[in-house]
Amino acid sequence: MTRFAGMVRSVGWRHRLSDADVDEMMQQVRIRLWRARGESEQISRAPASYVYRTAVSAALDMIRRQHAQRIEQTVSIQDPGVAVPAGVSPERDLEYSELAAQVARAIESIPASRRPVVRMYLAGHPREEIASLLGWTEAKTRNLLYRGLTDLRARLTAQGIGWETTT
Amino acid sequence: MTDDQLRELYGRALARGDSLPSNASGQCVAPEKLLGLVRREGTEELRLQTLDHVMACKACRRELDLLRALEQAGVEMGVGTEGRPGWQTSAPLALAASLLLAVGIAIGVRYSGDQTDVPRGGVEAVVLLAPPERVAGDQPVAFAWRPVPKAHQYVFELLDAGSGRTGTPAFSRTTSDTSLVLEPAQLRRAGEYQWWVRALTPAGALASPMRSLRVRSE
Repeated sequence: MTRFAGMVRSVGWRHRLSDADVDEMMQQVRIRLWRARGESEQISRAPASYVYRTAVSAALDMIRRQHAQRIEQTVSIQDPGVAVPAGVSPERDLEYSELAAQVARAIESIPASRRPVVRMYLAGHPREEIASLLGWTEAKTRNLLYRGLTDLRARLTAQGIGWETTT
Repeated sequence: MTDDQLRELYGRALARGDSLPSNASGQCVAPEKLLGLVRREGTEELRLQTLDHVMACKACRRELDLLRALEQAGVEMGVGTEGRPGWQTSAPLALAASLLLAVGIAIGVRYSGDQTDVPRGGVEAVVLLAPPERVAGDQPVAFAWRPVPKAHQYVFELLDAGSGRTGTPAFSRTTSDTSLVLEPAQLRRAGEYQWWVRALTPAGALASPMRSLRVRSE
């Protein structure tokens, strides 16, 4: 159990997962194992495959609960992700936000086969990670990403957004 | 517009929730679909649809990351390979790689007291090129090694070598490239590390010596 938690945490770092997310999930796993096995000695003897399956099941339930909560929530404009950086005027910030929204809309218009790859790349995932998740070769990933980014730039250029816009 | 500028703008759109299509709000993908994406189950078209939403939705991204971490941990422990056509065939290889890694770590720990490199894989070992032994902690660190003929993949491992943590894996990645860059956030803390690379070839795995890396706090 401890070894598995350590492994999940270690792997989670690579995916920029917060310790809090892992802790919450592993807590659920502990509760499930305690209910199923009772004594700590029995829990410590649980095979890794059993802990793994319990963890996947706990994670899926946790995600279901989070989905249900999200439907009831409203988006706050105080989201820290949209805070105005110090020294940036409100006008400039508004302009920048509009530009970001235009980029998001332009991404929406590129072909569906290339769009997820572009999104993943722009979200900061390296090409190897994209290839690994989709089970693609490096060449296929590179090709679709290149085409997707070209599509995106063409659409932005058509809207008058180019190099000079963000300098 | 450069890739970095696009990334910055997309990051802002993500933070504001602008990246999600207007008709997709409140329609997050089912957890089973997220798991299908991680396990490469279902058609490619379906998985791309799922990924398209996930990458535009902050909440779903976190959930996907959690499942990916779980699955990868399962695979690395040799128990998470059920029901994954793409991974079933590589399970024995992963197990063998884990054993090789365990042996490698044990040797690394044994020899960590002196500064001599520990050779692995005989004379054809992977040659490490960069970074130098000391790097700044606030800058991305680029790792590079010389290509190995016929290698189809390289397994990169960064091990924590700080006191009391010697040999603990801090980061690993399998790649077909001969370089990779770690952002400061991925290194997590300044201190002593060791790293090595294994090249997977049709004839077997070749490995580099273990190299020290000191990340300075700036």
